[in-house]
Amino acid sequence: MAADTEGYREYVGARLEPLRHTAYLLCGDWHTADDLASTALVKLLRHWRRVSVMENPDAYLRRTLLRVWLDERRRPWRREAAWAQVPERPASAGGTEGTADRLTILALLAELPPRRRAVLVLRFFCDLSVEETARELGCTPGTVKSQSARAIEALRGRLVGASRGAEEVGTDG
Amino acid sequence: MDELVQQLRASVAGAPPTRIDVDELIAADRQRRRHRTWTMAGTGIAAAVAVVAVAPALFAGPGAQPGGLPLPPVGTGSPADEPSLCPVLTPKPSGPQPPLQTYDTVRARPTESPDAGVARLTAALRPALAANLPPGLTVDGFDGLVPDCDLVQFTYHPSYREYSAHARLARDGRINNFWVSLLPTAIHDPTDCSVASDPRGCTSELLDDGSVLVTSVDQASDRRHEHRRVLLQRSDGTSVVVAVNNYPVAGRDSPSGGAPLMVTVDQLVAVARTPGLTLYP
Repeated sequence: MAADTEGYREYVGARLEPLRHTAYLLCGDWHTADDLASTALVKLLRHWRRVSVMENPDAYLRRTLLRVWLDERRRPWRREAAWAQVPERPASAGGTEGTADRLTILALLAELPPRRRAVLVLRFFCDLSVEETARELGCTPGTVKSQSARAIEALRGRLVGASRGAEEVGTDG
Repeated sequence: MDELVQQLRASVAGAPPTRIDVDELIAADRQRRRHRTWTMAGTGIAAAVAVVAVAPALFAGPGAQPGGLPLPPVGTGSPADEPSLCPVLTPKPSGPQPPLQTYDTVRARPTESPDAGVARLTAALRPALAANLPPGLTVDGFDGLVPDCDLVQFTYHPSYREYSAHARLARDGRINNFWVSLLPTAIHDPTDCSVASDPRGCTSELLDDGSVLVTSVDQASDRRHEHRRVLLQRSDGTSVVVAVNNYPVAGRDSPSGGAPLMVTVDQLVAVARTPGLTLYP
């Protein structure tokens, strides 16, 4: 077991930050991202003996993270609540340009359905090919292509809307 | 698309320090395993009975003769066919095994008893190693479940439902890690190099007997450590993995990083194709 633990520690040390980043883009919150990454790492530890001899342990870890995230979203306390009024939008004109962009892309990602968001993160952040993404999500490459196209289309539309909103805030102020 | 990639990368650029402590995760998992052991034990009396039953095996250690396990009948039943097996420690002192693997396999799982499987496979492996590994190598068995055993021997892992044999190869002060595993082929196991960590060092081939052979060579970025692996998916539903590397392993003599591995891919393939290494004899 000691040998397994050493190998596990070394493996996780090299991949912890990319794993957290991926989790963050999926859930949009660093605290939740750490929780998701922790849960995925515990699951990895329980199966480390088998995973460590796999051709691609990274794919296993990514799939575990995706499943953990999708499961987490289904928990009752994560379900979205309905409100009578639209909440206030973040004032993008108040921060620096980089901060505004970061908040904008995260807010736009959060508006996408989970699997569509996962497609974007896997394709454009994890640099996976269409086929690899399909394997990770357990769907066909055609589904990945269509989901990807729709997600980008939705992002584009919302980016235009967001920039108009920001302009309006600027002229009002 | 480049803009999207840049924005995604920029959004994680200012990541706060992580709260995750890997040592804490490992310790918590150990504690969880211990708690589950205690829960499963049920009552203190049951736990005491279990301790009494396991204690002799733990404290007596392996004997010089293979007296720890009754050898199951194998082959023709001739004593010469039966391998000399070292006693196996069960259960593992560190806690219960992980949950039973339940993935679908291409063929119904074998019904052979683990004891019979260990004896049969060990009897097939030892001559295969003698015939196919380079001459002059010292081959020592190394397995946490079979302490102080100089011979290579399979052990059965109930949770993973697989057999594995670990060995240490040594020659002229150089050391390599070597192991063989047998497990039922899963339905969704890839039969090509699509999941290889480095596709450049991977080949996939359909053999005449219907088996699929996948070989891969991974070299660490420091160019000092290398991992060679052969996966033979037999047409009978058995997956055989044979691998060698010179990665450092805690608690053992440090393998020889930088020096070429002592076993070639062809030799690994020869071991994997040993006829007796199957779950469906």
